Amino acid sequence: MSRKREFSYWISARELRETKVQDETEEEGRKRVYIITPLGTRARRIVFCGVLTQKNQEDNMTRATINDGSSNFYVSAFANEYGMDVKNSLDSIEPGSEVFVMGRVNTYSNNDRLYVNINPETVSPTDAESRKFWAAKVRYLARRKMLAVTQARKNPSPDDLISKGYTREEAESAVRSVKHYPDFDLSQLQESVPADGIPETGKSESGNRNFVLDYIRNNDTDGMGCRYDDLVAASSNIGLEQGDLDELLNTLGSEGEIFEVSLKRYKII
Amino acid sequence: MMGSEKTYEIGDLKEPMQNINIKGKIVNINLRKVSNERGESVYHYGIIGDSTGTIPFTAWSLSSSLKAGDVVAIRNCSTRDFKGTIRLYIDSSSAIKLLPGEEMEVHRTSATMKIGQLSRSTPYVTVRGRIGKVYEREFERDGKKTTIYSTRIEDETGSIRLSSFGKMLEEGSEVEIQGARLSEYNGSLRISINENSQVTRTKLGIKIGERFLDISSISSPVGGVTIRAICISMGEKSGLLYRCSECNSKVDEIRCPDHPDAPIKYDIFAYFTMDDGTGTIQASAGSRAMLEILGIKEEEFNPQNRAINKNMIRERLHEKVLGHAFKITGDVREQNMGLSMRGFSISRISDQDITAMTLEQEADFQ
Repeated sequence: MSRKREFSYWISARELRETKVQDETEEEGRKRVYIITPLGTRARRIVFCGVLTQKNQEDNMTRATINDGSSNFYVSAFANEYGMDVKNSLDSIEPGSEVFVMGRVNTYSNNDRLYVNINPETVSPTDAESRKFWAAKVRYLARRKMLAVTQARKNPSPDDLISKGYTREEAESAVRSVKHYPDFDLSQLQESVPADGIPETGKSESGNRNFVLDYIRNNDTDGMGCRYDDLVAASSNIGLEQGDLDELLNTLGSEGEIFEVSLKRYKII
Repeated sequence: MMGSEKTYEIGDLKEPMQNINIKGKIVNINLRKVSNERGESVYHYGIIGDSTGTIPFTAWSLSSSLKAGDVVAIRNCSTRDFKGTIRLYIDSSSAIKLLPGEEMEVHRTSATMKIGQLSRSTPYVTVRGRIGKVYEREFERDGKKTTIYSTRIEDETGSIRLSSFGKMLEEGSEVEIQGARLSEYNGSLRISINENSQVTRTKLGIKIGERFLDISSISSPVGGVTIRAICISMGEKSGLLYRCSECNSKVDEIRCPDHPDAPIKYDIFAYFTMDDGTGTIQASAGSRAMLEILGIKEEEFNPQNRAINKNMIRERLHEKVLGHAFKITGDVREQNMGLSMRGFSISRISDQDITAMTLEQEADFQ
């Protein structure tokens, strides 16, 4: 039986990072997991471009971090029957390169927080203009959705939004946003992807990483692990927000650099 | 809520109106399937008319046994604006009663529409635009000779094939055509001018540039439009083709079965999915549009050049097209799988394109 292609959404890494809601449905006898982003986008497949900032290549799996200028996408490509070609594509791309990815979202929770990983279906090198084009379109689509959400907070009716010139997708997303993220501060996403889509990679990212590793190493004062609350306070002093810190802790944990010895206590491995 | 008892004449309908009753004759009716995240659904659309005029309709709840020519009474329907025209909506709260044996004269009206908005649901239209290059040929029917003028007409929103039976058209002129008949041929829309249509020369001052469309806004097989999108997948059958230089047929072997002495020439068939964040569309293109993208000079593209083979073309398509953003100008066609686009001009998105797009986007927020 032929199946219609599942729609792929263009969303920024920052919007993905702020995603707290997943929606499970059963379709054709199989469980399907969707995410619902703060702007109400209900997605199972996403498309994005960015710079490959980090890659951890193993025989059975390659993990990669791709930055779109707003935050990171975390990608895991597996060496299985369906993923081998994609893993090979990802393996052939050098860090620092511009990359295009289409993939399925995969979620997991830790400490009541939802993390979204991407299982890629297509990975391909791209060029600077394509990345900038993607960034410009994502900014535009997000801005329209933000305006729709603002309207929907006054009157959450899809028909009313459509009559104001929004598309059905924008109208339904806005109503979902009102339902699942009634108090979300939209200004967080206002400039989530820079106009040129150029990631602030390299210096600041490796600087933050080194800062967090050093801080955990030097502040395990009672041998029970460095306290999360201390890390949050210290990180804010260097301009690293709590959301970015959480993400970095998650990455460092995935990479085997640190582990959480007990609730909100971290040690260097 | 109960609707009013008044039955409106179609010529009196305005928008928006709620809970109205009408009586009319179905001029044409079509079925369309839609798929979205909630699954698949079907709806009917077409034209309904009475002695005062016609109106396009969309019906989410209608018996599939209804056909063109049926006279029906519809209660609790509504009207709304749809892309600048009034449209009648029939939903689950509406009641439809077939009136068998009842006759009704329909006064055909033709809505004035932009070319990019034309769809099969409006069989008679009034369009304004500029005439392209005109081809004339003689045609004989019932012993009477007629000249057919074949051309394209375009405005700021699109272009469409136009055939005029007997009424002369001049290249470059700007005209208004009232009562043009809209039909679909081979997946593309076309309009025709016959004895009931009126052609008037007019001064429109149309400024025709690139006609950029979001993929989600493409709803009919209109021509001459441009999309800006990223290629998200490459069709498996994309690649190098062999053609007979005599008959241009695609040949599987190195010789044409009908012209074994004619040399073989190369062509490319590229078939891919384009995504612009609002939707996807299947696009295809031949060697004329693809060679520059693939970094191959036209004079190199021949069977004598051993460097060019099926593997090389396939690898180039993946390397140069997949995951990259393009500006594609072409004609949209409607086929079994839905709308697709035949690209006749393809170029990589440039910084200037991104700047122009950003300015359009800013204007959208003013």
